[in-house]
Amino acid sequence: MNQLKSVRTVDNGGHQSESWTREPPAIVSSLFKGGAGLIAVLTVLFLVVPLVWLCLWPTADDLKEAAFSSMLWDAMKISFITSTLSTFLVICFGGVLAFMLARYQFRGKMIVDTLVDLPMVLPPMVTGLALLILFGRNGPLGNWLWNHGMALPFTVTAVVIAQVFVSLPFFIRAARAGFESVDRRLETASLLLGASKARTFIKITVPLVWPTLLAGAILAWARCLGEFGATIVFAGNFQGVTQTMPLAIFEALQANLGVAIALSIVLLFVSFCLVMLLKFVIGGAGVTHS
Amino acid sequence: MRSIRTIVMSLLLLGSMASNSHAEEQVLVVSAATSLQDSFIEAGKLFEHDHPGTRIAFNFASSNQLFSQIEQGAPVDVFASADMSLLKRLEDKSTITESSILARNKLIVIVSNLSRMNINGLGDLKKKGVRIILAGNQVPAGRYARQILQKADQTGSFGPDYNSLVLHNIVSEEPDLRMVAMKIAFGEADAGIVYVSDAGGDVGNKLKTIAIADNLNVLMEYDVAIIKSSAHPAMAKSFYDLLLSPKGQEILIKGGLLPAQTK
Repeated sequence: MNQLKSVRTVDNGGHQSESWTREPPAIVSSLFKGGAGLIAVLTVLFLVVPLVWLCLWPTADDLKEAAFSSMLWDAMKISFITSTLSTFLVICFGGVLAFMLARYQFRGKMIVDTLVDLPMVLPPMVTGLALLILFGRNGPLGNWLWNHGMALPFTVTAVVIAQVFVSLPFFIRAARAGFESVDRRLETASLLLGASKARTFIKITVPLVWPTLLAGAILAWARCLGEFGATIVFAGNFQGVTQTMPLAIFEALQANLGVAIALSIVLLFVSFCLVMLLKFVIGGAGVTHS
Repeated sequence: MRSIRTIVMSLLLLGSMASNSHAEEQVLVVSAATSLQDSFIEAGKLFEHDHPGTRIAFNFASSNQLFSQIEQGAPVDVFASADMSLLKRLEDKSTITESSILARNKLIVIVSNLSRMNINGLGDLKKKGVRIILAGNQVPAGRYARQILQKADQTGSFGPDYNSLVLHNIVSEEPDLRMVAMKIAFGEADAGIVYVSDAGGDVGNKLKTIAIADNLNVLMEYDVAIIKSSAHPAMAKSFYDLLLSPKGQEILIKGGLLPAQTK
């Protein structure tokens, strides 16, 4: 009963994985299931309870004040426009890089791979500072731009640059895993049947990796929406220009905790609805998100 | 299995380190407005030197953030605020046992050495194309800066629409004055209005300062208070006394502040 047996699986990408399984006595099995269930419930509670409490905290007046502030609507507009644009750029540029990392072998690939992940561990404030000293007036790139009559800091372009920088790794990671998991035989078949490379990519590869790309894009979009540190340092804070939702929440926090929390709830709610809607639409189109 | 054991061992080790390291030390928590940072660290060193076995843990942030933390029950012993209204609010809820004016500060105009605009006074801030950064309206210093512009407008000597012309030149509202001073030092904007105490330090040689006349200026007060729920009231009181003593005041003046007592 406690015999160990080796299960070896080979997936489509040619990767091998090995796992050891054994069949435990029934009592151990049910104890294990019970324990796992308890941990799962605790984990969900840990994630959900603070958010529920956040939603219950503000008074009706706080909510009203937040809902009628011009700050909220300006910030919502800026946030959704910039994070959507940033996500689009991330998909275009990150998608190409992810494909290359998944399909091609080249010298220094490991290094590129690690470098691409770095923005994830960098505190966003530091990212903002790095962008400021590069694209700022004294920076090598900023100086050139300045001499051509352009200044990035305090513009909406700076907001997008900051968001793209911090969210790229999230998308690249997901997209790369997606491209790696595609069954190459399907692409080969398509090519052998006479389809062009571009047609094969659009008709075979993209539909296969679509769920992963979508998951990566949602992750990147969410990261853009929540971006604060890099934005406030690099792009500054001005209502209607560079003030995104997190910046508006931070500003409100300095005057009225209740209003700040009310703004956060609006952001939380709208984001939740959008992501749900997106998953629903994609799910309805016949592609299931695994 | 081995890796699990390693993880458990290191967790235990970390736990024991955390509980042992400061067992005999008393930790005094001091929340202070960011603009007091340099002076307070120096005063803290002096205090720790005079009171062996005591360590001061500083918590520097905007006065409003610190206020929210105290309101939410953060274990703070001494609070130094740059916003006079906050202490009043704590007093009303009897959260503090004792309070006093700590120091005063004035606002000045700073101009970036990299600026190509010709800015020689408050009046030049309205010129077209001048890029101005102020602290946000929620920050006391940001409010005071706007009050100065309004007062200047009312004197009539700065021309029609002075206030709105200057406000129109604002490119960013920063969360604190340190960011205002830093970005102007970098040359990202031409000018801004900050406290005298923010125009020194590492940005001092990258900025030109222009005084603001006393009749327009806002003389602002820093207040210091002992929090009622302090776990070390006696220790909190002696740090409080140190700050108000001639020695403490000297440190604050060295940091660019004006003394609490005007002679």
